[in-house]
Amino acid sequence: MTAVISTTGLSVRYGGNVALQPVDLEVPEATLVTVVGANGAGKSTLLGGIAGWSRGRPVFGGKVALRGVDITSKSAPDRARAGVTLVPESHSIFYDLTVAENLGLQRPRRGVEGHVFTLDEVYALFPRLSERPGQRAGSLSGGQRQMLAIGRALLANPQLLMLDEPSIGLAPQVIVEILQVVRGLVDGGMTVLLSEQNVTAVMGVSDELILLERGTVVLRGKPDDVKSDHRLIDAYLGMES
Amino acid sequence: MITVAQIINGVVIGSGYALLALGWTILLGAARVVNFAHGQLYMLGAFVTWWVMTQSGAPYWLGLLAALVVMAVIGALMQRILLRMTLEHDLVRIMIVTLGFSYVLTSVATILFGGNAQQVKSPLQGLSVTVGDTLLSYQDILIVVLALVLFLATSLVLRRTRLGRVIRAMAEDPLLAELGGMRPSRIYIGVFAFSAVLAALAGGLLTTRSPVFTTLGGEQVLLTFVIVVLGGVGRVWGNLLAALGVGLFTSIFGALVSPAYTTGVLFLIVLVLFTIRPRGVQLHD
Repeated sequence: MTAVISTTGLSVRYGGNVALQPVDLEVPEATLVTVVGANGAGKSTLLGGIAGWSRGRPVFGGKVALRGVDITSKSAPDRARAGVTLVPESHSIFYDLTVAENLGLQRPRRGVEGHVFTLDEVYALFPRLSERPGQRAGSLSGGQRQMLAIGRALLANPQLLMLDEPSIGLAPQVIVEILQVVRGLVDGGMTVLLSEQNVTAVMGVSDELILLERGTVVLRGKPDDVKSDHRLIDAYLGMES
Repeated sequence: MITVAQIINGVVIGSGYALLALGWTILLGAARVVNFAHGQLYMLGAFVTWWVMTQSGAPYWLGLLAALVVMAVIGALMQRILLRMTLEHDLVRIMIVTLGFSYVLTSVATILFGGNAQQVKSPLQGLSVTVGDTLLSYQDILIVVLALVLFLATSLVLRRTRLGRVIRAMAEDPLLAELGGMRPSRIYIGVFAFSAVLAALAGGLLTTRSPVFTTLGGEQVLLTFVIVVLGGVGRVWGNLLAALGVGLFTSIFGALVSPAYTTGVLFLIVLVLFTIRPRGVQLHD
């Protein structure tokens, strides 16, 4: 089966600094693949490289293919229109717009086959958003902002949904709530690539884990297969056990 | 004593300023572009109207329409040149380049249209109503009505349409907008063209009241700057009120004291405002 997204030697550098060593990656249909790693390991850079996007001035190398079609030469807006949707780590919504205006910005991509997400479905997934459509997004809580960002992304009907550290700054209960929603989306057929520092939170929901260290993939596999690997334990899980 | 004629004159002048300021404030709010060549676009709007009328014998409305089309194209070209700087929010280079545009446009206009002052006649100038003991021409009424209609339309577009939401989103974070599949470059070019069209409209309408020179433009930019500072960047109705206020001040202060000090006193007010109430740059009402 063709992967929804695949990278071949995807690398990113800023000037002379290499932020991501060449990465080969495949995200199969309807799976949740999570990239874990410490701050500065290259998680956001990897997701940005797939989206062709960065807030800096990156130089991308390698190739990115969407369902086998090379999209490397496409700009970030064109990749988004093709179905590669990234929710960035910080400032992922428009603060000056209301909740409804943020959601109304997003149009479903053309040629969507099968299920098309509607505003009502987004409100059903995140009822707290439906209670405040006229509220300015900048005045929402951290969890509500994350829900709004994911809701906006869903309305694009992505082929690949990428969430960059959705748990950052959120209360544990909210993290669980959001990850359960994401798992539910994957069970419903969505393909998700997640980046996360909170390894324990994603162990139970991910289909595959990829461990990044200093811009290099050092470990990958199913959570059950890698949870006893000393590199993962040393880096993250050791403190929990 | 303040007369009805001074008030009417102030409202008409203010409406012209409002048209000039509307495009500038939307451009600054949406794209963070401070366009120092805005006054030259106003001047060119007046001259293209005059040139088309005198060269082809076209009626005033056709000359004005031609000016709007020409300035839309010139505005789009200017933004295309500025695009990289705009996307990177390189404000210093944007200011230097638009200052350069202003000198280039002045020189080109002088070569094309000569150094003489020109004025055009609108068919509406011959028609008038009497307010008190003051004659108010239909052309002046048109300027006021057009300003109100365009401000209302712009406000509605920004608030009620998807295009308006996209423009406001771009104003806040163009890079995030890219992730939603939006293309900032297209919006920026469209907003700049809109801004240039409004400047040309103001020029084409106001040149029926007073003659234009190709060296005109610098004072118009300064007045626009004052209005946008007073009204708030991107604030549609705030800018209309500020423009009317500046128009009334210009008319009444000019009549009661001296037109020579009007701009100086206006800038004094801006300096005081900057000192006591600095504002952020936001695109909302």
